[in-house]
Amino acid sequence: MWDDALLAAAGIPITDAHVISIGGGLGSFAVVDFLRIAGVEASQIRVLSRLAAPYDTFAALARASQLRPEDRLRSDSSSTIDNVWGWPGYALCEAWTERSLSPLWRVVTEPILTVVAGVQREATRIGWGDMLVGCRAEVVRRRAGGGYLVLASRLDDTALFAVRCQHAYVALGYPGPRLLPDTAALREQYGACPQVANAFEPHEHVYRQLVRSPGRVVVRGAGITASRILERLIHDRDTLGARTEVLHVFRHYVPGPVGPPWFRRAGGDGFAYQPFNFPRAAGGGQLRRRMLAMTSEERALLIATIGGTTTARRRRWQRQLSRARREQWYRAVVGRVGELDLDGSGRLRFVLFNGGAAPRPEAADFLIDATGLDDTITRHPLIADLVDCGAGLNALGRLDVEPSFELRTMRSGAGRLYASGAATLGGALAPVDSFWGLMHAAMEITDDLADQGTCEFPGVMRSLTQWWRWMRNRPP
Amino acid sequence: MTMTLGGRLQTRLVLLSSIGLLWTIAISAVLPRPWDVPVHAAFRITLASSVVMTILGFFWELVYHALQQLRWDKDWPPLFGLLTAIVEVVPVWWSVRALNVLPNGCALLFAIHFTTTWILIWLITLGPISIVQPRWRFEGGEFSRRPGDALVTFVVSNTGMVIALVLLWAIW
Ligand SMILES: Cc1cc2nc3c(=O)[nH]c(=O)nc-3n(C[C@H](O)[C@H](O)[C@H](O)COP(=O)(O)OP(=O)(O)OC[C@H]3O[C@@H](n4cnc5c(N)ncnc54)[C@H](O)[C@@H]3O)c2cc1C
Repeated sequence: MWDDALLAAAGIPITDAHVISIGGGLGSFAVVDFLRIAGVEASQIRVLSRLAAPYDTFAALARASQLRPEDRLRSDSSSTIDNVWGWPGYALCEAWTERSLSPLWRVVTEPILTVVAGVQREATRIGWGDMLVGCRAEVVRRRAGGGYLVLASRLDDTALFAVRCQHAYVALGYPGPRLLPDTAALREQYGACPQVANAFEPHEHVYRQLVRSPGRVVVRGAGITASRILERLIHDRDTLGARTEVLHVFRHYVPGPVGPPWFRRAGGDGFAYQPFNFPRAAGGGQLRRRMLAMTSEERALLIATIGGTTTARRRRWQRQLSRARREQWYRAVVGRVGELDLDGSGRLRFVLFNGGAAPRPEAADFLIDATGLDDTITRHPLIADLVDCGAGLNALGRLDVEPSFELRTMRSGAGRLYASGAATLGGALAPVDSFWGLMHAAMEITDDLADQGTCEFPGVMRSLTQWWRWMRNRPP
Repeated sequence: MTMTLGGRLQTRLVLLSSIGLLWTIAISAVLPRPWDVPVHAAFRITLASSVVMTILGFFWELVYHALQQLRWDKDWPPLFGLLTAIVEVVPVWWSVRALNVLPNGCALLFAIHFTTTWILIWLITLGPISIVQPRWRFEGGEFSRRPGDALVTFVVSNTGMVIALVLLWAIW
């Protein structure tokens, strides 16, 4: 617990805001958007962020992981993070502006472009720029007398300053890409080591090199990102004449559908298939209802069953892979890469531990890890500090939040601290790290703050008038 | 759409007894009917089929909810919501005939009323409903989160039903 005098004594200037949103990514955007619609003035909100635009981190990760601007996203048309009502969706809006019906059944749209453009428009509408404070947030502490003090350092001169607020919200995303121990060791030993790439870091050089000269690449991971990496490799083979050979290493191979008839997830060729990260009903239907009634341990178990590593079953990918298997330049193996090292000529060499079979030495030109992002959230110093100060962790080791997304143990007088996004997986809302989940969280947080008298949760009239303002692109 | 059982029942009741009823009242007089069928008979058909649609709907929602259990996503794609009209129309037709409110030659009137009401309500659940109830889609189709919200739902649906029944009785 800090008090104002402590900071003043340290010569740290303090400014005020009613609500602070820390992170400035899409989670922050969703919350600030909802609060603005619920009647909180822009002057009462401050967003502490390293980013200029809320979609910067998402767009950068998407680009690195081979999600092209025209690719379909893994969420449905009502998960419009720039429109809290979810209606009209992108297609309908486009049809309206073009005064034509064709967008309604145009299959190939530009989802990422559209999402980015939508968020940009909404950010401008709600005055995002005026609320943004470019900085690195260091710690959030309870303040003597209620509310919170957030200590931050400026981006240009790293000078410290503090913001005093009544309520705070934290969404920092992932700490970074997940480096498996062997790749981390290799980088430690050889420096940058371009032979091993992480799907969430820029790695165009791999594809460029593979087009220039034939090579062998190992892909680890079986999620949506692995699917996109494979798609890119196959695309380069088909259109740019690359002669790439792919060795795909599965840790768990899913040979077919799994589960009883009333709970059966599609699967095959190693992959588990579902349209989104979680079954749709985990975001607002019967599965969410079930999870609301569960303990943290039960939720962790259910999340393991309905989440985990999955990809979308898209016909194009399936056709590509079955052709690749037929032509024998794609091979899927179950097992594990071990003893990863570089040989004298700079090629990767490793031993493939393949279930019961004898370990086999192999070589490759590149290794691409598509094994996800680092989910040890305490690698965010700010979150580690919260945990030290008493924020609880759930059974998955993430921040333990109430269904209202409040960090219960961090309450400070009348002040409330909230979090959503990747740091809070394991709560009642499984898809909390998705557009839908962030909007859902934003709604719950707004509702909870409405109970505190900060704003007015949009009831019928407010919702209707605010929607009309949104439609006409007028500030809320 | 990710509906809970409660959400299905609430949505059906609220929409049919508000928008559905308004629509029914608005169009009944202008629906095509044989020259010898008076306008109050038209109202009798449309109101009776609205009420039957709601009551039988409760049974259907149980069936749909059971079928939903076979889907991994535990959801109900919008297209299903449109196509189920085909199975629901038959028992409504039988019931309206059994109630003896359907004079000869009124099949077209019945069909237009049923189809347009269905499509209207389906379109509303596709999105516009969220404009007045932003929570609806996040709550599996339920309108209520707090006891106070449930009251609104309760009043809307019951007022609608009472109006429909009173009108029907008056026409009888
Ligand atoms: C490749 C990819 C594809 C995706 N596709 C989909 C999809 O199709 N559908 C879907 O629903 N979801 C999708 N998602 C998920 C969605 O993008 C995330 O849920 C969302 O971006 C998370 O928002 P966030 O605010 O929690 O984190 P972010 O958007 O990552 O923002 C957090 C921000 O906090 C900043 N930050 C961290 N520490 C500090 C600090 N100390 N001080 C100040 N700022 C800090 C970071 O710079 C970061 O920009 C995808 C994600 C990825 C990576």
